[in-house]
Amino acid sequence: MSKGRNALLGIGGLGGLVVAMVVMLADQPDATQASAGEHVLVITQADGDQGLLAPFAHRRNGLGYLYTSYVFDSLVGQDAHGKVAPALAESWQELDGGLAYDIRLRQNAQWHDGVPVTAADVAFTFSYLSSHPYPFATVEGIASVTVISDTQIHLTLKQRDASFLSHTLMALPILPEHVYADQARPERFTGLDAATGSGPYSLISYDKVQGRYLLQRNRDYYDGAPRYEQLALVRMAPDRAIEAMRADEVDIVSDLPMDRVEYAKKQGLNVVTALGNHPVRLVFNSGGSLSDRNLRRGIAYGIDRQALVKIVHRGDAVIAETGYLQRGSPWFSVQSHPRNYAYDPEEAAVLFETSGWQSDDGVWQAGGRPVQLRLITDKRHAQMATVIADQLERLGIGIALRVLERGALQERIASGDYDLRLSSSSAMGDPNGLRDRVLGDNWRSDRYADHQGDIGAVLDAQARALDAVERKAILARFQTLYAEELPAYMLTNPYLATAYSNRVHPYYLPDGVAIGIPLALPKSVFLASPPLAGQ
Amino acid sequence: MSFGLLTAVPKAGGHAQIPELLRGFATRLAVFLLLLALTFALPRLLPGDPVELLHSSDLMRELTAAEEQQLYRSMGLEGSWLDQFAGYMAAVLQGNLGYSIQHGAAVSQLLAHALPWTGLLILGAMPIALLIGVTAGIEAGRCPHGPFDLIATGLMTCLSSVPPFAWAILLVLVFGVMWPILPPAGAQSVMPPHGAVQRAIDIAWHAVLPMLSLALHEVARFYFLCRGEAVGLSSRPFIVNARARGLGGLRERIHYYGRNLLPAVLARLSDSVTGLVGTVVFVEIVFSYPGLGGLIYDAIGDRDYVLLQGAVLWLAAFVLLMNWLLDAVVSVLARRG
Repeated sequence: MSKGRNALLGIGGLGGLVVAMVVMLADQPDATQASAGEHVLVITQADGDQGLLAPFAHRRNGLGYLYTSYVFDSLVGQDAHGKVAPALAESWQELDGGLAYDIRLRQNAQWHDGVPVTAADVAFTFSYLSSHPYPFATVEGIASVTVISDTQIHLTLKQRDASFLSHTLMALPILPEHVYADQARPERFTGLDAATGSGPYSLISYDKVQGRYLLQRNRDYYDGAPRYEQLALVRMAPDRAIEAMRADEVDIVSDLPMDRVEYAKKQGLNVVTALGNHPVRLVFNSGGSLSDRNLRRGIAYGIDRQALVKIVHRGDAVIAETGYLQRGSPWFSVQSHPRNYAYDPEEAAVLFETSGWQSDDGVWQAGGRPVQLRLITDKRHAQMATVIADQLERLGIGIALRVLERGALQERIASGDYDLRLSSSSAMGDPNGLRDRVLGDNWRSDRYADHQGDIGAVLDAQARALDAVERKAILARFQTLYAEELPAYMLTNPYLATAYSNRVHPYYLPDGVAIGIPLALPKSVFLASPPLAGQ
Repeated sequence: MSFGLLTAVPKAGGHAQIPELLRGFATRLAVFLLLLALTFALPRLLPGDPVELLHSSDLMRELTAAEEQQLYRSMGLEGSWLDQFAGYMAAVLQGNLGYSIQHGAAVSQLLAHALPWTGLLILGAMPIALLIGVTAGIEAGRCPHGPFDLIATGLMTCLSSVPPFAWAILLVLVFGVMWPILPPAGAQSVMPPHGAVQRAIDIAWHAVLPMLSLALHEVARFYFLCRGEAVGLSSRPFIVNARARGLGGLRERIHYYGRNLLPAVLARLSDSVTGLVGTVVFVEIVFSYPGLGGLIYDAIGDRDYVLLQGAVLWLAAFVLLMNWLLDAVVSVLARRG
C-alpha cells in the first residue's frame, strides 16, 4: 500500500475514533435526561456544578446548601414568609427557660428509601455531626440528647441560645442513621445513596460534568406530595436561559442580572426583584493603620454613595444602611442610626484634622508625608473600587488600588497588608452569624479589633435573649455601635432578580433562605402547600 | 516541544533503532519526573490558603483550630513540603491520585469524566486541520504564485496571526449569536434528547464550533509546512517529468506530493499534539466545554492542589507518550527514506 493511501487511512481512522467517542459519550449512563414540559420544572443557574446533593459532599456555598435542602429536611423549616415553621419536627416546647427542648417528630416522615424517620436518626445526627464538623452550623451548644420514644426527643443546651431554632435546628440537615452510621469519612461518601434524605424531592440523577441534577418528587412526603413531578437544576448562562425560557424550555432563571430585567420583561417573562441584602462594604483595617475611628468616619463622609448607586449599579441598588443589618431584615431598627454619613466633604476634613492629618494644598498629610492608602479588592468590585479611589483622591487622599485574584486577596487580608478593602457579604440570616462576620478572624469578616469589647458584649447579649422584643432592642444597640465605630462602611445594597414562567411563582424571603441565602428558591416554592409558621 | 529524536536522524543500520527508542523514552521519563516535582511546587508557591478559600462563603461558621487542622490533614496538606511530597509520590506510585475535597470526588474519577470531552475536541480537530492544511498546501505549492496560492497564503497568514482563543470568541459571536446556527456553549443540550443516536448527533453538533476554533490555528501551520515542501517538490525532475507526461488530478496530488510530504507532516504532528493540548484549555473555557480545561482553570482558582497535580500529571503523560510514539514513527519512516 502506498504511503499516501496510508495517510488517508490514518485520517479516516482518526475520524472514526471521533465518531466512536461521540457515541460513547452519548451512551453515558449517568447523563440526566429529561425534557421540559408538563412534568419537569427547569431551574437555571450560571454557576457550575455544586457537587452531590448530600450534606458533606456539596460545594461549600449557599447554592450547594440550597439545592441540598430540597433533598434533606431539617427539624425546623421556614414558612412562605421566612418565619420558623415545623418541618421534621411537628412541634417543640421550650423548657427550663430555654435550656432544654422537647421535640415531637412527624409520625409519617420517611427516608427516600422508605425507612421511617425516627428520633434515633435525630440523636444519631447530633452525635455524628459532633465528630464530623458541619460547616454551616454546629452542635457544640447541645449538652445532651435523650430519645424518649420513636417520635419524641429531649435536648438540653449548655447555655441559652436565641438562635437555636432559627439557626441551629433550621440549618442542620437530619441524616439517616442506617445510611451514614458506618461512614467514617462522609466527605468521601459520594454515591447516590449519600443523598438519601427525607426532603420533598429525591435526587435521581446527577451529571457532574454538565452540572445537571434531576430531582423526583417524594410522593410519601409528610406534608403531601410536592407540586412538581420533577425538578431539573441545570447550569446555564442567564442570557441563554432567557432565550430558552422564551422557547418554553426553562421555568426559572434564578440569577437574572439586573441589566437584563427590562429585556426579559419585554420578552413577556415574569420577573421578581428584591434587595439582595448582601451590601458592598468598605472594610477598614481597624486593627492597623485605620485604628482611629475619626479617620474611618472621615472617609465615610468623603464617599458619595448616591454616585456609586448611579455609576456602578446604574440605579439598580439603594444606599445601604450603616448599622450592618439592612431594611427587610426582621432585626433592622430604623431608629438606631444616629449617623448615616450623608456625603459631606467638609465634615470629612474636620474629622481628618481632629486625627492629626494636615491639608497641604488640597492633599492630606500625615507626619509630614502625603497620605497614601492601599485599597484592595477582587475583580467583581473593580469598577466600584475605581470610583471610590477617584472620589477619595478628589478629597486629597492618595489611593493605591490593587485588584487581586481570590487567593492573593485572601493572603493580603490574612497578613493585614492593606488599609481599605472592598467586598460584599451577607447581612441576612439569623443574627447569630454576626459575631463571625464582624469580629471573626476569617478573611471574609470585618476582622474588627474590638478593643473596648462593646460590640462583642452586645453580640453576646443578643445571643442569650430568648425574647424576640428584647433581642431586637439589643440588636438596635449593635446597629448604633456599628455605625459609630464603623468596622466597615456599608456602601450600596444591590437588587437581585429572578425570571420565571407561568408554571411557578418564586419569591424572595425577607431574611434569605435558611442560613441567609439570597435566592428566590426556598423549598416552599415547590411544595403543594407551604408550611404555616409554627407554635 | 520536541525531544531530540525529532531532529536526530539515525546514522545507519536497523539495529540502532531499539536503544534509540529507549533513550527517547528515558529522556521523556526524566522530563515527566521534573514536571511532577514542578506541579507539586508551583501551586504551593501561589498566594492563598486552600482551606481558607474552601471556606470563603460568609454563610459558613468559623471553623475551630482543630477542625481546620483536620481539613489540612484530609487535603494532604499537613507537615512540611517534603513530607507532603513523599506522601504524594507514594500515593501516585500506588496509582492513587488523591481526592479533591472541593469537588467531593476522587481526582482520577474527575479526570476520567473530563478527559473524553477534551479528547473528542483534540482528536476531532486533528483530521480537520490535516485535511484542510495539507490539501490546500499541496494545491498552493503545485503552482507557486498562482491565483490559488496567492489567495490561500493570504488567508492563512491572517488565520495564523490570530490566536485560537480569539478565533473561538469570534466563532461564537458569528455562528452562535449573530447568525445562531450552531450552539455557542456547552457539550450537550440542556435537556439531552432521548435515544442514543439523537444524543450522539447532539454532542457532535455541540462540538463543531470548539473543534473548528481548535483546528484553525493548526490548519495554517500544516498549510505553510506543506506549501513549502510542495514548492520544493514542484521543481524536482520526477514531478516535472510526470507533469510533462500529462499527469494531474488526484494521482499527482496524492502519490507524487502526498507521499513525499508524509514524513514532514508526521514530524509536525507530534509538535501539533502538544500545541493542541495547550490550546484546548482556552477553547474549553470560551465554550464552557466540560473538559480538562475548565477543571484546571477552577482548580487554580480554588487552589485545589491535588486536582491540579493530577490533571497536569495526566496531560504530561499523554503529551510525552504521543510525542514519543510519533517520533518513533518518524524515525522509522526517515530510515526507509
